[in-house]
Amino acid sequence: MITRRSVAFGGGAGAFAMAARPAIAEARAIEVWSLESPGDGNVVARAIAHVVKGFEAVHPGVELKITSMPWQQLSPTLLRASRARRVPDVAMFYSPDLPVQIDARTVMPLTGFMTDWPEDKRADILRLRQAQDAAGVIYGLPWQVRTSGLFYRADLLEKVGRQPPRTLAEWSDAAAAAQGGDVVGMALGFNPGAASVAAGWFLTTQLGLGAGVLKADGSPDFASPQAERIVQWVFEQVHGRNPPTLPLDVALQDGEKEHDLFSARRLVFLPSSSDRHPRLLAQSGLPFEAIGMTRYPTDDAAVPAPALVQSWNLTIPIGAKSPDLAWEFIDHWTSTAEQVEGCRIAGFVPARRSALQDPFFDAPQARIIRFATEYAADHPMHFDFPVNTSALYDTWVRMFGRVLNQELDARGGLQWAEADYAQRRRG
Amino acid sequence: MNAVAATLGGPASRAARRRRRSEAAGTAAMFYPAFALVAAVSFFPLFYAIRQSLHRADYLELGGFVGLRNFITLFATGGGLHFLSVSLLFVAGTLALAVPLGIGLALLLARPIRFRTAFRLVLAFPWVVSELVTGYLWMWFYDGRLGPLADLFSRFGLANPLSDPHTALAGVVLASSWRAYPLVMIFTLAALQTVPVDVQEAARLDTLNEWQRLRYVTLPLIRSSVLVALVLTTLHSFNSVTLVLAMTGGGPVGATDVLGMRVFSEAFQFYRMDVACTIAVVIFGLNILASAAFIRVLRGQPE
Repeated sequence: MITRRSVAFGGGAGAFAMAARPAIAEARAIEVWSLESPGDGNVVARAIAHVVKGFEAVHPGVELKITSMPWQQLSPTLLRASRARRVPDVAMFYSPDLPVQIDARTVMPLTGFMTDWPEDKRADILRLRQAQDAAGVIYGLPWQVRTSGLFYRADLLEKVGRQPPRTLAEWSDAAAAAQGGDVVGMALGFNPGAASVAAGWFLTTQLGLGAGVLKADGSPDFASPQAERIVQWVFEQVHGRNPPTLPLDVALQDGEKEHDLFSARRLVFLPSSSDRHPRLLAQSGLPFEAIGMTRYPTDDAAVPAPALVQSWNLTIPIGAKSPDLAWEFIDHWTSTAEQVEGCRIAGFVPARRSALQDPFFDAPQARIIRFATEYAADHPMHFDFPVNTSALYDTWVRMFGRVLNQELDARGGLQWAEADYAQRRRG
Repeated sequence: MNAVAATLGGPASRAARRRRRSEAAGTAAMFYPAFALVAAVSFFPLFYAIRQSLHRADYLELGGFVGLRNFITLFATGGGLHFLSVSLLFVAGTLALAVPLGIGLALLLARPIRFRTAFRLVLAFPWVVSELVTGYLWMWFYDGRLGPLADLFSRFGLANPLSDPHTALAGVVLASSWRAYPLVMIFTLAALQTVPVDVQEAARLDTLNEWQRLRYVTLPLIRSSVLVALVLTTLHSFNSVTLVLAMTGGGPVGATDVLGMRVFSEAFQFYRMDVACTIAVVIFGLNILASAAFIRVLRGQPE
């Protein structure tokens, strides 16, 4: 018999079920902000698609919602989303953008989650300085790593009897010898539109020569003899040689154009990061042996510049709806098995040392990955990146622009850069 | 008096009042939602930008009130005068190329020539191309090593004009003008259709030559439309970011560092929201000034 009480109970239960249903559904779905959509055709997207598929296979019922956006927009968008309290469960950032997020308190510490890992698993993963605060608390874990270095055309160097350079002098000599016709010796794009490669090279080379770069309080210490030596060296490549090993138009164009030049087989030396190797190979159509990668030179053949390691990192924003599920996703992506697959699909450097045990890394096609891993391990960089690395890099490329256009000499340029950065830096 | 009151209060006047009330309600029903929408998407960000420009910023959080200090810093040590002068040159250059080109092409296309419709379509094409595509297209075009004119460039010993601080702005202005002239052309062409044929005939009978007819008859009659196109092109050029971002990123040596580009960099690369908002307010002021000047010219024209 249907009584008023049973109707009320049924209605209440129904209302409870309706109210609880979205909460349960939400708990089984996580939103991930990514630089690529798994449906895109490139190697990074394919690597991401593999991770998504693998995660959903081991977590049936969990839905991954991937929202992709241009990589430069990830960081400013999370700042806005954080203010509006509409954050995703997982957001990925390029390592230079992480200090900003840590400083703005938009991402949560991962150290607590990591305590569940066994000690060997904790020790196994790469920890970038940019992903930690001053106290060493970790806010982001890498899902792919790349090491910057000097790509070169091995076939052209062999033709002129030169070895991959170990010093700046060897570099300019090899560039001068191997260039000719429409082939340019070297490219360093000091363009504010894409400053990171050229400025990153300048940073590591300064450190390799023993310069301080920044003082302990983060204020600039640019006008060192080492920095002056490098700026002068670049100036000589542009104006001190005929023909120049670094033509002015190439020196001032953006990094992507430098890659185009290399892909068009019009360039001998290209500073870039290891993850670009598969694309350079595919776009240039050069045989595998024709593209080599070496460490950034300094003045001492035995001491290369330290390795600039950057990574794409996974973070959990503060206010994420399902932080535990988000952590499971991060745990999955940073696992040894997924790291190996990422390397296999997209040529990443693995974020876990244990991944290197896989036979894949003994194969010839993993040569650049092995090089990048060894370079990073043998010559780690000790540098506390400022909160706003973009401003530092932007100041440097503008300074090079002024020096190369002969508005300022090397010393004057560095002094100008000191004043400019002092005004722009945070903290 | 009573008669008047009776008349006013009569059924006819009540009906008229009801109709007026109903019309007013209809107007309000259409106006206020539209106004609210415009206010939400235009006035609120403007208000936010003005407020932020008078405060310090901690990322997106509003900091302490600083009065006009952000503006003073921008122009005293922050390169504001440089950005402003580059912007003014960029806008003036774009107008100087796009306006005569747009008017000239419109005058040509107003004539009875063969394939006129096809020409109109082709010449209006740059307007439908996005700024980003325009930027990449012209960047490739200028590329002295890999572009279509690379061979020509190398024969004359020329490099990429975008890499030379003396020519980079001119290179970007050319691309901007290429995208801007169709608007002027279309406005002018539309205005030319409204010039009465008998006025043209009368001018011809008065033995005015072609140039005199253009100078004294046609141009005064289409001036309003050209000025509107001028206002729109000016505003668009002052606000331009994408083209510069795609082509030069503001370089080399700040040669193409227009105000709009700085707003983007300061807000989304360097996270200095106070500086970005200060520059945005400067752009807004410039837009108001330019529009007011054009409207003044428009109002001053002979009837």
